[in-house]
Amino acid sequence: MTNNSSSYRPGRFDLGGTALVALSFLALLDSVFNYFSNGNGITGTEGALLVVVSTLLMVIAAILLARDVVSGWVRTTFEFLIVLDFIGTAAAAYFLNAWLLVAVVALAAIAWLAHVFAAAPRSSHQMIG
Amino acid sequence: MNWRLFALAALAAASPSLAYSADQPGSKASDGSQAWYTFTGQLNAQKYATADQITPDNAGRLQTAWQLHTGDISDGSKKDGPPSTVWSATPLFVNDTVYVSTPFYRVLAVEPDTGKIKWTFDSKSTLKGLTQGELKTRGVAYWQAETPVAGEACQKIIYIGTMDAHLFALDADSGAPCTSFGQNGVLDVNQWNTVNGKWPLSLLQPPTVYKNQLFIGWAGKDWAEAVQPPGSVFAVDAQSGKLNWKFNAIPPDLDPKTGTSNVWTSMSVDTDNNLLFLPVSSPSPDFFGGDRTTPMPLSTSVTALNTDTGAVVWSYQIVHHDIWDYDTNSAPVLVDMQQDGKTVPALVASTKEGFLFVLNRLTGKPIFPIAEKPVPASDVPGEQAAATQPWPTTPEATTPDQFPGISTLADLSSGGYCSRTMAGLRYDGRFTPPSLKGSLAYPATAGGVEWGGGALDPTTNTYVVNSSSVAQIYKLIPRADYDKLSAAPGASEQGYFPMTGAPYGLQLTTFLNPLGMPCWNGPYGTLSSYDMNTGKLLWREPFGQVQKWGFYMPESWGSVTIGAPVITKTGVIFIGASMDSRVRAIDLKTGKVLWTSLVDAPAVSEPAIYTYKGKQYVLFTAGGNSILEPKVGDQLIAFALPN
Repeated sequence: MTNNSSSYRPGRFDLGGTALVALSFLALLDSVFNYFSNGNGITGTEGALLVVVSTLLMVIAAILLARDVVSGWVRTTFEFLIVLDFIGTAAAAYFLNAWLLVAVVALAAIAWLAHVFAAAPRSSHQMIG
Repeated sequence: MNWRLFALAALAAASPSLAYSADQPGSKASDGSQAWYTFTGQLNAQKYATADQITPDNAGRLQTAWQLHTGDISDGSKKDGPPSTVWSATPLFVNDTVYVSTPFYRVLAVEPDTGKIKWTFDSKSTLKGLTQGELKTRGVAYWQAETPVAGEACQKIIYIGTMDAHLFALDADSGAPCTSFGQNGVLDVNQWNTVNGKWPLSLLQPPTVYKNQLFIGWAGKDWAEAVQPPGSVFAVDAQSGKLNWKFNAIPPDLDPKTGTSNVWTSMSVDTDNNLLFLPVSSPSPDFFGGDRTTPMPLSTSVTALNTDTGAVVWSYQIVHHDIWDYDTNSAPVLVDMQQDGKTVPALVASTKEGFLFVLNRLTGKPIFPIAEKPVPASDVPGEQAAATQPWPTTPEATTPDQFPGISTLADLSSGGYCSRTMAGLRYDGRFTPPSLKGSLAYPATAGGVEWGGGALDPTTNTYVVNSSSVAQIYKLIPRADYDKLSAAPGASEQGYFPMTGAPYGLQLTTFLNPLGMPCWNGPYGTLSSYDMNTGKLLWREPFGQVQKWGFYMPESWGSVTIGAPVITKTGVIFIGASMDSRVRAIDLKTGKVLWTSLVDAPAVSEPAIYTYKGKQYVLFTAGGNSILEPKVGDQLIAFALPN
């Protein structure tokens, strides 16, 4: 059974992957804004800084996954880690009352699902072929 | 008019609570609407607003009307800069102007509908923490002549006190000093600090103004040394600053052993009976009384004075031989109770213990039963804790009698730290004395109810009060050991209270796990409503949200709370007072939150409510307080309904 990077590359425009990168980046921007802007209740807090870090990691993971930079068990690990990142960031954002960030992370998770499902049929087909 | 309406009108006319809120000159704006003329709104400390535009139905539409930043702010981080600021000022609305002081001891006069500055005054007072760790102010006071003479200066006066015991008098219209007051407009209150005068009598709380007198209390540092200036209140002439009379809480023969029992918070006045009600604090040193065992009946008390003479009319001690720093810490709220068809003149004194003492304000006799319950003895050599303590059972205390138990979450997340620590502490319920092994104090000196006190709707006698649930550890340390420990690097952050001159120092720590989580079960703050005719609890809700590292904890936990509520005629409670830097409107009937807004820092005073040019404003100072969290602010923010 082959499991190389080409097996995950969609043959057409990867809307899910692109959206994942874009939304992750949006989450990072929102986190940075929350950390530095005044009057939101979490400015300069450790929690706000934590989600800056977690969304930065999310952006990196999203790029690696969407651009098919990693493969094999490394890719699987990143898929697992980005899911943990979604959950952890969303939970942190919930307790920070950063509702926009919760929404953006939720959308990023949906984009990730779209990316995975878009990739799955092609990879199955290639494995059969 | 039918007979019921007639009877109600007659009752209203006869009721002091409806009459005395407006009888002080300046207690009304030029359009006849209610002014917010003193720290507690009114001299009866009811914190009741007659404004009626904002209702439970439309409070959700409140929005920012204006805001300003004073610029007088410090987080204490600058080397050689000022210490951190604590801004707990209630803004006043008088003379058609908003007046507020800043922790840098400046006064701002502000247009009430725009936030535009009319004038400012800088006392140029020292910005050093002479008696406190932070720079603090709780606002300004206002006096005006009964019949102000047009064109003559200082017919209306604003007063600001400073950390170094100077009281400035300013013309309310211009901000210019009133030169006939004190010496060129400044009264040096420290001139009367003649016994054990080790530090200035800090004027952090604005004086209480009644008729032509100012009643001046002061703040000190009763944790620092055993022998301190004895607690005093000065009554001075409002225009000249001349001393009319002086009250001392401590018998003079005890001056060589103790001190304080001062009045560091606001006072209230029964204007019908010329009674001044003092919340008298604990004697020094705070946590060891072995050298001051002679009874001091006026310490940690509510004491009523004749406003003209300063003579004690009655006094009720709420803690005997106080060794917990259970200062009486807020102005008693006056209430005309309706019982069996009769009006009973009463007051409600809220306390750090969470007890509500309801007393006849003419006699000091309890209205509801107050038991003298046996309490634990001290096991500290030299200490003689009181055998009994006053214990009101009605109204129900704002804090439970028993420690609410170890938080499983805090305990598990710290590997059992909380339960291990608890096992090593002495805890025998309320009034467990400080000990050498460490005692759990619950409620602790952090409250219960803090200096804002409660608010009262006099039309229904519904009383509302916010309260904290805080557990702290009091550990007495023999002097030689204390001196070594407190001199160690980093000791200043570990809650050392020297009590120099006593055989022990004290380490006071809040019972947190190493992650900073409270080791006890919540809720950590509540808002309670009582029917003060019966003393019955109407509702109690968790209040505010704990915020740690930016994370908001569940609403059911509530928040430690400092500040006070106000109540409007329409049944809306306005309050800041929570860790989460939010201000809230709450339904008086149900306790449910109607509206919230984020402000720059915890709003740790009470809001001012006023109507100007036909519009109702709710005005908060968002200044923060290090007891809640290390967050400071300089925001004065007004909310109103949209046009």
